Amino acid sequence: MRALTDHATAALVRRAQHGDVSAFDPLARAFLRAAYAVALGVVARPTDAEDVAQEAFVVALEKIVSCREPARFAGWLLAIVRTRALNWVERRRLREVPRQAQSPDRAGELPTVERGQVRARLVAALAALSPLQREVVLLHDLEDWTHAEIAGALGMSELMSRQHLFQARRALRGWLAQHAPSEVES
Amino acid sequence: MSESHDDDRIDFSALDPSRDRARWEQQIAAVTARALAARRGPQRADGLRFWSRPGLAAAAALALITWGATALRGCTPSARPAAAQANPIANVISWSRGGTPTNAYELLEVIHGE
Repeated sequence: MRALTDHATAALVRRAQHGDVSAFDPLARAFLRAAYAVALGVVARPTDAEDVAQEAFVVALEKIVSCREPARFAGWLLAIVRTRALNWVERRRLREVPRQAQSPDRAGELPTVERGQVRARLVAALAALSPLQREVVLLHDLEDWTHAEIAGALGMSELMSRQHLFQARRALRGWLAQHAPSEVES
Repeated sequence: MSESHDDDRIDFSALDPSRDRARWEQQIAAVTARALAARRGPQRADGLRFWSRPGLAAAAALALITWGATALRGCTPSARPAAAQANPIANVISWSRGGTPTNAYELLEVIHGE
């Protein structure tokens, strides 16, 4: 469950909209992890996701006056995160195509192999899901959001959220079972 | 809430950015600081915009006063020869001719008697 209720979120957003910058910190504490979860679902690299989440959060706070429904700040923020994450992926693709052409042995590399095998396996497994499944499973299982909160932020029904979560977990478990650690290492 | 404790959940703790507490606090602080800086930037620009009109008005008034002063003296500084300014005799002649400073052509006419 989110750290802030919709009511408390709306109050903080309104304060920020009226120039009260002391509302920035609690908003960041409440929603930066969710921003990271959505960014990770798109960029598939934890360190990149942290950068995208921060960048998107700063942009959101900069233009917070344009958040018309303060109680729905989460959905508004995550839309900004998603857009910036997609732009990030596009920039990375343009950057990395010449690099991969120079060293073709890296082309078949897993999406990321950084900071330990567990992390690398999880990221690789997430790559097997659809973008929406990744968002739902990360917001639910990493960020602890309820289906009602996910449904509200992502603009879907709670039933759809449950279905995406079920399918995502099944696909993840399937992938993790198929790819034993020794296979990933090789 | 019960769904927060279901057994089916995938353990994503390895991907949790707040596992390293100090690093996470730094990220929160960085977001807040960058947002504050971004908000102060436009405020400075607004300040400059606020003062630009009075500044322009003051500059225009100063230019008008300078132009008016030179016009009252009968000629523009650039049209007035330096030699005439340096020559007290020429000034005396011009004063004697009507109390207004002469221009170069008139001065030459008087000196050469042509």
